[in-house]
Amino acid sequence: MKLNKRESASFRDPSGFLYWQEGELYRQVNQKYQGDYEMLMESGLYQNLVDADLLIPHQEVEVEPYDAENAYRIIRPERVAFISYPYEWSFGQIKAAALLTLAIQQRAMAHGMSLKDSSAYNVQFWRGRPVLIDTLSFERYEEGLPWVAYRQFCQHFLAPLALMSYRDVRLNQLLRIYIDGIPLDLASRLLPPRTHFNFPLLSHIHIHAAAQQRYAGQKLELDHPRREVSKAGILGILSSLEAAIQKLAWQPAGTAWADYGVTHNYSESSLAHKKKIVDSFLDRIAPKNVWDMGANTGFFSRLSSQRGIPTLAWDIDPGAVELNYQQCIAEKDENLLPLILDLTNPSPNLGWHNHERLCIQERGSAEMVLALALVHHLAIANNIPLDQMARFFADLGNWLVIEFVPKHDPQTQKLLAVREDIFIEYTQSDFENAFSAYYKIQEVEQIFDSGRMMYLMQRK
Amino acid sequence: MKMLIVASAVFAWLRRDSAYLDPGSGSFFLQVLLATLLGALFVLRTYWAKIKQALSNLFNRHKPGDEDETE
Repeated sequence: MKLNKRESASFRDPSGFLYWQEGELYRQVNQKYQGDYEMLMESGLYQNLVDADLLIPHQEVEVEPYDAENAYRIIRPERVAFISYPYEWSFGQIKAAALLTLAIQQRAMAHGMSLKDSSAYNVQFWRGRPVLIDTLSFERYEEGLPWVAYRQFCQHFLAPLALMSYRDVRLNQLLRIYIDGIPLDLASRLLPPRTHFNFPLLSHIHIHAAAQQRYAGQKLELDHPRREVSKAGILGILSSLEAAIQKLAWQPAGTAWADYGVTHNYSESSLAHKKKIVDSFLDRIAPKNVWDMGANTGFFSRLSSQRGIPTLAWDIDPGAVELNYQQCIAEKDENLLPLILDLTNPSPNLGWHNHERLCIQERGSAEMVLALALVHHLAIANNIPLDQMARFFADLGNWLVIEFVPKHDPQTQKLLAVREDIFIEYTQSDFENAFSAYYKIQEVEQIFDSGRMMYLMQRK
Repeated sequence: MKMLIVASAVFAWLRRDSAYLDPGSGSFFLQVLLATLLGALFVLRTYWAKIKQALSNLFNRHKPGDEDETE
């Protein structure tokens, strides 16, 4: 049996693929792609993009190829701490990835090359910024030919952003269903009629969808002289897409999630004490990475990221994730990545053979999991039994910092106000019993002025 | 506004019939159309920027007491 493993998401493009060898991630460049790879490296495009932090840097290495018969070269790209997907990104994150893709295509055109795909999955957040991770996305540009990735760009970026901006920010979840981007006829039907008076959206989405229907199944004769697309034409299309995306906006303020100023429901002394406890747990364990489940706008996640620990801040609320991302950008936080996740229905395995896009546990694990002010939401609002909760958190990582919010807490009472109290097994001792099946409780501390308890637990 | 009227006419014409979706061909034909329109605008904008730059250079050169220009 081969010890090497091919990356399950890397199979569509015959130019090469990613594979794992002894814990290192490599990309095999196939002979088929030699010409384009050499042009990328020699035209100055690679250096231009890497210097501008737009493309992931790589090194050419001498290791055994995975598939020696087709191999031209092996490269080792810089590692991205966690692979995230567009349906986990907030509006601002998708917008940043879209503008990155257009900026790269403009630079590529200036170097005689062009992006041959514009998949949102080729963009990842690395050191706080979006970068292109697919080094083999470039091909020699041939004057007269259209931009082959135009349709994909509209489906992966323009359509979701327009829907999120004009209809509802939660429509980014369509990307979870449509793995190659939102079909343009669907986007066209869902967008409000007034978008017909916005020229870029009219042309790149509504007319684009109609053109797809009109020319369905017709053969392309690319060498027809009247069907040439000039370089200026492509640059014009890119500039129109860029203007359209720059104009699309969404702000959490003024929506159902307007109350972000209040990130806690404690007195100042309780909050200070809770912060001190989390600080001490982080200092005691010094984890190599942290996942904050239910992070809101990232107040506690920052205790970790500011220590230089790579931290994921998951939250169900796209508004909280957006505000968190904006703060990361403003503070140039390279260690914090905010992402959208519904813990009661987390990102599943998707795509070809259910292994193209992975659930979060298959993309990594946390040395420390934070679950702060979360247990009552899962138990009371979502009827998740405590033992199931313990099993789920134990699946994510080794250490757990968890806050137990008792039934008499005002927040729990608020949740119970609108429903019958069927939760007889929601006491502190029930909680400790349930979690003790999976964890060894290392520390317990009560937060000042509240009945809330903070625990540090280690997986058994 | 003119652009919108042209686009609406194209839109109405495209909507005439519907068939099985084949995204490649439609996207390609649309690019031919958009490239002509947006490409011309792009070239005009580039020239206009150049003309504006030239005019502003000319204007600055004749501005009295401009120390940067006399250096």
